Order: sequence, then structure tokens, then C-alpha cells
Amino acid sequence: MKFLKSKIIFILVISLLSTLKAQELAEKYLVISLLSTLKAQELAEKYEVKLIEKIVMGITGKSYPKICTVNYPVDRIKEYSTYLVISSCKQADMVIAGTDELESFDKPILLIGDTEIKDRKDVIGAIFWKKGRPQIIFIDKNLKRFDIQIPREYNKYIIKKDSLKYAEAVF
Amino acid sequence: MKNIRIFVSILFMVLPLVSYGEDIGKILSEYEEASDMSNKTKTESLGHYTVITRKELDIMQAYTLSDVLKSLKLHTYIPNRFGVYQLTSAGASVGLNTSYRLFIDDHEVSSIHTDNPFLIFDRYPLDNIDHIEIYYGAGAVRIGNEPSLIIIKLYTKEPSRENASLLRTSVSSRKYYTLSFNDARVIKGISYNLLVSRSYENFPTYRISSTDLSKDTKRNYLFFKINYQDTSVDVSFADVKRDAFSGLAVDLTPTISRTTSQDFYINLTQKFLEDKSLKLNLSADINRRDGEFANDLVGGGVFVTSIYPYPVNPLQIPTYYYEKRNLNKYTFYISKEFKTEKNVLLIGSSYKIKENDIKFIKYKTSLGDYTPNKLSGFDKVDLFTAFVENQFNITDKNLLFLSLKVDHYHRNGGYKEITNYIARAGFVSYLNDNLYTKAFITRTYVPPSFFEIEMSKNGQDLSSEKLKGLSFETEYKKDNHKLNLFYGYSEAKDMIVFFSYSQNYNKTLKGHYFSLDYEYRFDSNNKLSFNLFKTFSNIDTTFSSEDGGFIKLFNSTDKFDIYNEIIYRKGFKVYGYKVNDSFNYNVGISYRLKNDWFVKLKGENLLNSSPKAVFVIPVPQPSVISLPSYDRRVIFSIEKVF
Repeated sequence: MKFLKSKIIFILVISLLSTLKAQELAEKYLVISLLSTLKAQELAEKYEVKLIEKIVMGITGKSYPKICTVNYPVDRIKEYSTYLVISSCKQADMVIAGTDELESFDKPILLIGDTEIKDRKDVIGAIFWKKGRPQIIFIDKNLKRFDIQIPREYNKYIIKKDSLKYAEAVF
Repeated sequence: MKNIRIFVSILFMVLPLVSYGEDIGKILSEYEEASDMSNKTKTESLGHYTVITRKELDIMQAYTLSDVLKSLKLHTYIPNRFGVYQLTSAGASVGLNTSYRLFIDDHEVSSIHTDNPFLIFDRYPLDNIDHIEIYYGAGAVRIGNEPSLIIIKLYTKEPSRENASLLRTSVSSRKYYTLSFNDARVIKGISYNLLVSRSYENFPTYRISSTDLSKDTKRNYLFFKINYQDTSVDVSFADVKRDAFSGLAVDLTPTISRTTSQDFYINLTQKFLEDKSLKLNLSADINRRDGEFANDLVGGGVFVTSIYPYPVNPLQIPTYYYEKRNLNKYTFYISKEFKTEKNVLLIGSSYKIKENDIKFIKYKTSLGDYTPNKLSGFDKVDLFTAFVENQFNITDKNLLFLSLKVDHYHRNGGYKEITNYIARAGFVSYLNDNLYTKAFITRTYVPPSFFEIEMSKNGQDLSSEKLKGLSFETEYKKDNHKLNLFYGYSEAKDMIVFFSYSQNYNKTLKGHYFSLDYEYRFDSNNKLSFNLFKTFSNIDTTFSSEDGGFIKLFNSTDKFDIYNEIIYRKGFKVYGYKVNDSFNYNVGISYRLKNDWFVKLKGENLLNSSPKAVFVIPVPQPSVISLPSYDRRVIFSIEKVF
């Protein structure tokens, strides 16, 4: 009898679950237990933008460099960057791209998060993850193509390989 | 004292390595730290927790789960009489604890037979693991786990952050080797994580009464996980062959003692709806076990409760025992989360079938050979579970947790059905940006396992353990300092203990637990961690250390990772037998070469001061022995990332 009762309870719970509709999500949850996750995520985004800012300023040598973004959230840049100025890609000093599936620009491109970097002549560097750690690379031949002199502290991130998959060339 | 002086000297030699990196390197490190996967996975409502991050695992050269658990506060990690390393709560004897739950991602891997995960996973390779969360989570219900006091969650590496293969080989100054291969990548939207690992571990052989006790182990592990959109499938196979130390020998000196254990599981997790709040989990586990044990009659033979004669009759004492069994578990789990601005409600249900199919038993006494079919009449359980957990923001800085889980066990063989529940209330308060407190009050239970019923005189009479307790922690963070204080109190009735056979203990066991953690961050690559814990309980005899702590020093530079750790466990007395303080000192250094090659050197128990596992020998004269749990050894490893 008890066995039967448990089965009924079990089936009831399942039925209840299947009939409940998905709820509209609140734009931003305030429940504290989720806050620490949100805070960490915001912090991660902040440091990613700080990294981009540092690289762009180092490469352009400008205090307020102009950038445009392609497949990368421009709001993130606006939220966390003090010095980067958002402009059109035509006027930008550099392009920040979330993927290399993008049109050709006569501007240096910094790729974020894409590990499959094809042999483009305009990609001068990338930030991506490998073996659980964030990595930075600068592609020597493309830096030379744009006649870019990078700060000395970036030298250790330069790769000279012609590999199509730069991400596999470093750790 | 001399040991401490040596450690402090080494500490001061290492501290000068701490230096602030170049600016871009510093931002990169801070980015890495803020992006740590544990920031996404840790779950406040599961309880008080300890997190070991990916970076810490790397610096520690933590190759196996043992490397992490051996310093866990309020516990020691020592081998039991089968040579299986067990988490043992402070003061308790090392046996087969049924209240520790181990998860690999969403799948619980505890043994179907003993409800204990360590037979297969005590030294699980961590090459496919990103980070580890350990919850002091009596009463945790949200992950559909069976009743537990501690939950260990291993999170596998996220392929999108790996994009690499790793090949590692390790050898040690004793006959030990490991060969591990891990590959995790994303290809056209499908991601996978593969681990293949093989190891042989040769432990020191101890000689007792002219008998050599060995716990040498051969291990093979395979893990494969594939994800596509909101679906993931994990498949795991593990094969562990052991020399089972003293095994079932009454006097701890067997003539034969060996076990073979194989675990296989397949687990499907599917998330539904736009917000992924509906989760379905289906899994099948298959455990295969066989064990062979022999001991001479003078040594009391081999002990298996249901065949051992009461009162003792030498003619009926088994001197040889062999068993082979298949165990199966099928799990169906579903949960739905409802989120509003101030509330998160989780409801769910699970159904599990567990089967204990004994294929063959043979034992020998002076009167002849026997092949019984069963050790108890109970070999199948259907477990129905329904649970609800609610998190409610009282104010924007105060959160209340309430959870309830009802379990119903339908047991075959005429065994009583069990219906029991777990209830917990919790509270989190952020008093200000620097100060945080968390408290839980819990009522829970732990049912008897197949193993405990087989080892009891009458399984029908074995009741569930009943536990209640409360816990409180407060954490203060300022600048580079972090201080955490923890207090816990527990009351346990009907604890299942092994005194000649499994039985409910007639005394209510009470315990008080205090712990202090302090961390100082020099920067994101260098930090010092310190822990001290002390416990008080009314147990009659202490079988393991009640007080302890550790000091850990993590240093990382561009080329070098350096780790220093000293784990302290205070001495104690067992029936007048004195066990000394232990200072288990471990050190690791790794160096990054060109082209993604790494060389690593690790020294374990360098002060030759290991925590001890204590055993009582009942015959011919009752006596106590203690054996070191960790060997002094050096491990050399080479890793290649490609």
C-alpha cells in the first residue's frame, strides 16, 4: 500500500513539473545566493575589458584610442573602460572582434575568445582560453605589416609561427 | 618541534619568490581568478564549503583526489583495513562511512553496496577535473543525493576553456607510475572531455606477526563526456585491483586478501526551457565486485557476520571466503527551478532502483566447503524521493533557505519499508561588504546500506541513523586578509557501528566542531592559507586525531609553480596506546619549459611524520597497532600540452 502511495506521489510530482510553464525571467535576480555568481561574472568581464584596454593603449600608444567592436558586446567596453573611445570601424584605431568570421578591415584586429584563428593578415593579436588559463598572443608578421612597435613587456607574448591555428602554437 | 622549525625555514626560503608581476601579467592573473569556474558552480544552499580551484590544483600538483582530501579540515584521510583511503571524521575509527557522497559533475558515484565512494575513487586521477567543491552539507537536498554529511563535487574541465590535450607521466622513488591522457575541445558546437588513465601504486609493505600486508593497487580509468547545446552524456569506466591489506582476517594477518572492483556508468543530463530551469537526469550504474580472503584458524579465520559462528565454534570458523557480485543502480531525476525577484523555488523528484545480485559465494571451514546463495534476504530497494528547496530574500542582504526532502525505501525480502525525511533551515547574511555569516539547522538520517545489513546479526533490526545539528560560520574579508570561523554541533542517535557486527549504537553521540581559516593573498599568484580545527565529542574511545590544521603556501611565477604544505594532526590515545602528533610535509615545484613541456617534482611526507591508521587486533591477545598512512616519497612528472 505504502509502495503504491509513493508511486502516486512520484507521478504527481512529475505531472506537476511537466505542466508548469517556464516563467519570464526577471532581468536581474536579486536573490543573494545568486549575487556572488553575478558579481564574479561582472568582475571577470571587468578584467577582460581592462586587458583589452591595456593592450590597445600599448599598441596604439594613445591615451584615448578609438575602437569599434564586431561580435563583441560594446556595452561591456562602455561599462568597464575608462580610456577606450567607441567609434565607427572606419575611424577606429583598432577593431575588437569576438570571432574571425568578419570582413576585411585595413585596421589591426584583436580577437577575443576565438581559438580557431585563421591566417588573416589583419589579426595582430588574440585573447583566448587554453588549458584552463587565459592566454594572450601577438602575431609577429602582422604586427610588422601594420608597423606596430609593441611595448617591451608584451614581447614574451609574441609568436612567430605561420600556423593557421595560433592557439595551438602557445600555452 | 624540530619538524616545525624545518618547515618554517623552508617557508622563509620560499617567501622571497613572491613578487608582483608585470602589469599586463597581473591583469591576466586577476582575469583568470575572476573567471574561475568555481565562481559559477558553488552553491550556497548546499552548505558550508571549501573550494579548491583549478589554479590551486595545478600549483599543488594534485594528481589524485587523495592529494586534496588529506588536508580536509575536521577529518583525516587514512586507509581502512582493506587499504582503501577513507575520509574519517575527527576522532572516529576508519571504517566504511556511509554518509560521504562523491559526485563527478551531476553523477553520484558512491558504491551501491556500501554507499561509500572510496573503494574505486579514493585516488581518482584529477587530470580531467577543473575544480573541487566540498560541502559540509548535512541535509543538502537539491542535487538529488542520498542522505549525506559531506558532499564532494568534482567538476570536469570545461572544453571551451581547454582546447588542448594533456599527456602526463609520473614515476616515484617507490615503484609507482601513472600515465594519463586528457583531451578536451569544442568542435563545431560539440564539446567533449576525454580521460584515459592508468596507474600502478606500490605502497610500503608492513609486516605483522610474520605476515606481509600489502595494499598495492592497479587502476584504470576512462571518462568521456560529450555536450551538445543543453544535452550532456557522460560515460565512465573504472577498474581497480587491490591487495586488500588485512581484509577480512580477524587477526589482521591474512594469507590471501585481494579485491577487484569495476564501476561503469552512463549518465544523461538534459536541460529544458529557455532559462534551462527544468532539468532531467537519467543514469545507469553497474558495479562488479569480487574478493578473495583467507586466514588460518589460529588467527581467527575470516570474518563475515552471517557465516561466522556464534558462539565461536572452531570447526565452523571460515578460513577461506570468496564472493562475486553485480550491483546495479538506475536513476531518474527531475527538477524545476522557479525564479522571481526575491525568491528561488526548486522542486524535484527522483526514483532509484538498486540491486545487489550475489553471483557466487564460497567459503571453507574445517567441516567442508559451502556455497550459500545470499548473505541476507534483502537485495533490492526502490527509492522514491520528493524534495523542495526555497531561497527567500528577507531583505537585500539577508537570505533564508528552507528545504525538505522525503524519501521512501521499498525493500524486498520482507524487510521493513523506510520512510524518512530531511529538513533544513538556513540563513545567510551580508552584514556589510566585508562581513558575511551563514547558519544552518538540520534534521537528517542515514539508512543502513546493503553492506551494513549483511554485516549485521539481524538486518531487520538495523535502524537508520538519526542526526540533527546546527552550524554557523562567519567570514571577514579586508584587503588581502580573509578570516573564517566555523562552529558545528551534532547529535547522532542509532549510529551504525561495527562491534563484532553492524549494530545501532545505544548512546547518543554528541560533537562540537570548531575551525579557523585564515588566508593572506600577496597577489593573485601567491598566497598563504592556514587552518586550525578542534573537536569535542562524547565518544568512548578516540581512534583518530580530534584536532589538527594545516599551513599551505602557493607561489606561482611565469615559469615556476611552488607549493608547500604541512598538515598537522594531533596525537591521541587508543586504550592506552599512544599515537604521536603528525606533521605531513609535502612540497612541489614545477617548471615550464619551451613548447608546452612541463617538468614537475613533488616530495610527499618529507618529514616522515604521517598520520596513523589505528587497528585493534582481537586475537590471540587484544592489542592495538598503528600504521603510517603516507609513504615518504618523491614523484617526478613530465607533462606535455599539445
